[in-house]
Amino acid sequence: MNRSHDHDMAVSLTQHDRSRRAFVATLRSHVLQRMAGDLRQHFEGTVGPEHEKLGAPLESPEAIHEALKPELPFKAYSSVRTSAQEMVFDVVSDAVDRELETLNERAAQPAKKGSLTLNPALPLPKSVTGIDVHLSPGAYHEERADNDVSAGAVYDNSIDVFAFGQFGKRHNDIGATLSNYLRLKFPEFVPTSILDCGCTIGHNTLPWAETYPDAEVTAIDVAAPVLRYAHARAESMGVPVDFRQMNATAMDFEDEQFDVVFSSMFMHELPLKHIQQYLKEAFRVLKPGGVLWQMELPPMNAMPLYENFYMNWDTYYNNEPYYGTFRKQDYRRLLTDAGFAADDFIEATMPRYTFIGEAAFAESIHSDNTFDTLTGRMDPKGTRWYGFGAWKR
Amino acid sequence: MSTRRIPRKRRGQRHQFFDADGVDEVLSCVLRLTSEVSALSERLYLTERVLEAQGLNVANEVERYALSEAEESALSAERQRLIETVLAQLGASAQGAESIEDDAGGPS
Repeated sequence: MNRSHDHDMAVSLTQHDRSRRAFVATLRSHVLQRMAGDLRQHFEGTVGPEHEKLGAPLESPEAIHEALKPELPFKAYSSVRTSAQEMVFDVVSDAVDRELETLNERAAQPAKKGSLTLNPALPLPKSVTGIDVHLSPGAYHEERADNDVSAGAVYDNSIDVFAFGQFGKRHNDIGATLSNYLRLKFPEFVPTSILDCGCTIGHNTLPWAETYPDAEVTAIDVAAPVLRYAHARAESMGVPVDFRQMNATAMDFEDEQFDVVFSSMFMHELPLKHIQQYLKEAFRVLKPGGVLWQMELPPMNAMPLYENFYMNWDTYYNNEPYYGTFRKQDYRRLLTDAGFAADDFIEATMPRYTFIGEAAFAESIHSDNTFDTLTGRMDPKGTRWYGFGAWKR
Repeated sequence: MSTRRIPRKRRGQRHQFFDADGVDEVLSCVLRLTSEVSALSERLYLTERVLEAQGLNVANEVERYALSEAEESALSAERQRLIETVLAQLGASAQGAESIEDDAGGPS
């Protein structure tokens, strides 16, 4: 029988599992390319020009959203995309349910390289417990057994289907891209301590240990099931990481402990108040000379109008309520409010490291930033990740 | 703690995109059904390849196979049962729903 992944926390997949997963991945790809293309064409060819003719051009993402809501291409795209998203979790949960006891036992094995430190007394934020984010039943924190890893297993398996390969072979492309960007762009900077905040299953944590093999890598999250899974997954891959259950908005670390504070796809799931608290904490735990460097959705002020409407779909319909507010922020201002100097702000749009390889990537880091339909999106034609952060002087 | 099954339905209301009630839900049913049909047809494809490797060209033989009257009628009954089952799920055929409940020995 096939295994879902090349590590010990993989689950066995029947032919039926594999066919259903392949179907949902194809369906998602169809929605995000073909149906999204139809929707854009309907806007650019019909709805947009009609409003211009009436002397009321659509000049904001919200106005485009309202104008498209009654239109069939929007209804079809949104309805099918919602179902496809629900089906992602549906088709992966069967295999995890079947093997959950084995997975939980496997995760309880003693650590060989890294560590796992849980804090059962840690209060979970309402932004995590109050909503099934991404339409994922039970989200990342719910426990279904002692020493449970089910939320982590569902997440790892769901990425296979959800991202249809666009996150890289080990779902690690974002971490690989951002860490290698730092290595190649700033060769004189050699971090010895790296922190990943909101790490979930550590898929983007591990590439940091590969890019900087002499650094100590720590990763935190509020949810125990994903951390147990992350730890067992990292152990089986032989990558030493210290996983700790901690809230990034109030960390237990001493001041000035890390050379790098990293996060990926993290802030857009937080209420603005928590983003501000997290960035202040990131500034506090960074050593002078260290860098905050994170992958996020590109800011609204940098992206074309239609892209902003299209990207913000998730904030309305994918249980990601804070996403729209986050994207409206001036990211440089968020960092200066947290203590960083405006001149120390850095940002980049980067091609995917594990897809294009070292040589092409090294060449790309000198090009100008590009904000277009491929920026911050999953597209087989060539996604570009957006990163921003700041040096701490 | 005893192990609980992963929930298959998320908390909260589904969004309604189509004006008429239920259209989004029906579309969701159709997509899920299509995923099962896709999985079944892939299973059949693989079965044919496995048999072919054993020297049995099933795909060719299936095309040439002539159904008897009894087989036609059995398949027809099966088709009917499938239609009734699908419509009963949507509440569109009370007759179908009753006969399925009768077959299963009444509602449980």
